[in-house]
Amino acid sequence: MPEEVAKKKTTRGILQESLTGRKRTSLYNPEALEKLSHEFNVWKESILRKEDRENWHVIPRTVLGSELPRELLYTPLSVADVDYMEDIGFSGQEPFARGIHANMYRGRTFTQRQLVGFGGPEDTNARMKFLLQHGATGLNLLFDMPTIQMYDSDDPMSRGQVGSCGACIDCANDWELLFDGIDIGKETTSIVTHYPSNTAILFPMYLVLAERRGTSWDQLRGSVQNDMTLEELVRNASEYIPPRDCFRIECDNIEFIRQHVPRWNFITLNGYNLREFGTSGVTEMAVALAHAMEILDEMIRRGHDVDWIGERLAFFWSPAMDFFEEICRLRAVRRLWYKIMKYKYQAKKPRSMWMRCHVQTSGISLVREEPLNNIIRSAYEALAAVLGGAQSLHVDSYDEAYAIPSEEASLLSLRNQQILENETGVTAVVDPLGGSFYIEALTNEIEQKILSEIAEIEEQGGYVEAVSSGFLLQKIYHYFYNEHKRIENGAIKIVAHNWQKSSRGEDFEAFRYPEDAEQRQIRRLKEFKAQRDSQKVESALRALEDACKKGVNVVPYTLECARAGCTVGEQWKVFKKAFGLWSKPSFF
Amino acid sequence: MQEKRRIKVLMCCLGPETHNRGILTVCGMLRDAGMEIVYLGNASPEEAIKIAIEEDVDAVGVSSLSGGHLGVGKILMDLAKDQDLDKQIAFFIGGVIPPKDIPKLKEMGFDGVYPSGATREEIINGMREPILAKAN
Repeated sequence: MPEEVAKKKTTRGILQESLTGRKRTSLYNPEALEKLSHEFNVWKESILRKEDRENWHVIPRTVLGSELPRELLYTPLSVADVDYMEDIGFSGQEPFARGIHANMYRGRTFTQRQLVGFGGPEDTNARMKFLLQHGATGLNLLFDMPTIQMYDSDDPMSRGQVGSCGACIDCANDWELLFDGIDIGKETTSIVTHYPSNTAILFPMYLVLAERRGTSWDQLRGSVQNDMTLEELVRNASEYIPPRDCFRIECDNIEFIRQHVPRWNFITLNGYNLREFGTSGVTEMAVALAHAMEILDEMIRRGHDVDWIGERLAFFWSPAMDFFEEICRLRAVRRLWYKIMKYKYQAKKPRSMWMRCHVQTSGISLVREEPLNNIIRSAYEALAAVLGGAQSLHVDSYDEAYAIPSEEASLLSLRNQQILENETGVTAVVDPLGGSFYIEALTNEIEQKILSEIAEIEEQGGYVEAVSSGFLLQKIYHYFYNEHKRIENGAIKIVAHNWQKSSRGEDFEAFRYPEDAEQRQIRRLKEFKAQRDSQKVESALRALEDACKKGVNVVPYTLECARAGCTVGEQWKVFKKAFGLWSKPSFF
Repeated sequence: MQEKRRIKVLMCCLGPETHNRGILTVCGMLRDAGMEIVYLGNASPEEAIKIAIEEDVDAVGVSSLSGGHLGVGKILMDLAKDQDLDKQIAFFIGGVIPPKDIPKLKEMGFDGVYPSGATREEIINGMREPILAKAN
């Protein structure tokens, strides 16, 4: 461990110092606990079978599980030292374990935000309108692989992939087709840009769309992802810029959006894709929190107030199949984030202490065999997200092990959410599982585990360093390769896949991309390039390159590029030229 | 070819494919099965073919999870056929591939197609046979 790292206090250490010595009051009186403890032992010896006593703890083997051992039965003894007001409290109040709002879903239900994106911008526009017409309450926009990786549709790299897995976008004009007939001043839109680099390029195009429509930027509501974890750790690419430069662009985006688009969520700290890449729910949260803290440190260094940034930070989580663990994780990370903001960063506004989150059910938990079973899996995961107090939800579709969802499958996912909200009654009571001996004990344990893994990252020199060195990549690779072995040997059971095996589904009719999207988009791009002012384009790109090299905020320059009609690929080329390329650590 | 020389496989995603858990898992399986891996991350079909020749590999394995398998698959196999490479080394593709596309990929010249959920045995045994057949 480098010396300066060793000297720096871990987050765990800071919280311990802040919280030790505080007077704690248990809900149980010692006499009652003593009696209970005695009765418990009698029950264990007389009622419980010997083999159950010997196997008191079991480890749930589930897809992307943390494998924390569970007891056979939880009792007040499991939570004997809990101080109700300190550790649980009321909803909408510190420590926010029970939810960020006092009335939770009674006040505002979870936003039903289904991902959409395929083909050309006009194809995606039609599907977005279809979902809005069927009651979706938010938009969630996904781009194709070339756009995400910042290659234009006519780039040789993009051949055969334009419009796959998302909408293809080359320039600001494409945004007009994408949002044709949709009021961007009214709908809240999650723009799933994934990377800092493409956020810096794509989001200004959305701002240009607003300018052209006369919608003022302070009316815009929604989020971008803007997460370096996706650009430098999760993705596969042939070209990466160095992590430090990527982190700088991420912070530039945050700074610019916070200043100019005040109601916009400038980052969605994406645990989701990291977990789906293949890691436990504990690592997912530890990485996202370590990352969030590094952003706060950088913003403070740039002279900003911690509340000014903190109140707009948002998170994105993946709930997998270990049902109770998923509920506890959301409760645990909400409380932990509150403690970090309050005690490590001395935030003043309650809103800065809120762990606000979007949740998407786990795609990696879905299998090809008997695909309709996936509806059941996603429904349990969605229920866990709602019981855990998520603000916004996407439910994956049953056909996603084959292709992106058909219109029918997308509608089913939206219906899955609507049934949960309107037919089950689960939104009536806030944090309905709070106080359960099991839920509270597991929430406590998960909070400690996340803190331990944050310390592990801090000992590596922090989040950016743990990405640069390959530490996190190695850790994740070992997790998912081992998990795969456990699926192969049947330790983790997946119905119809490796248990009660079935080959049903192999005649499944998957969604087909519009085959002409690539040609359509290339034609459109060619026509656009022919009529734009090439001098303006070149000078905007030159100015962007200077800004990259000078170290000033790049977003005013990418905004000028968007206005001048520069394409996504042209701006990415500038980034690569200005920052140079980085070799991602590899192990093969 | 006797199996005395280690089988050498070039593995990559083509074009802008971002997903890599699948290919990294399969790389691990092949390595555990004693094969030598040349892992490129992402490459254009042209780069993949060029490096396959330079590295003198026995097989090329590509991964596609975003629906581009027919498009990029065809580009890769056309390039391989131009250089007569498809007769000398084996080509494989895996990932999120709808059932109806499997025969189409085989028609293009892929020696094996492994949709998500394919087992270690299916992949390793399925690859060995055409690799050894083409090497002889």
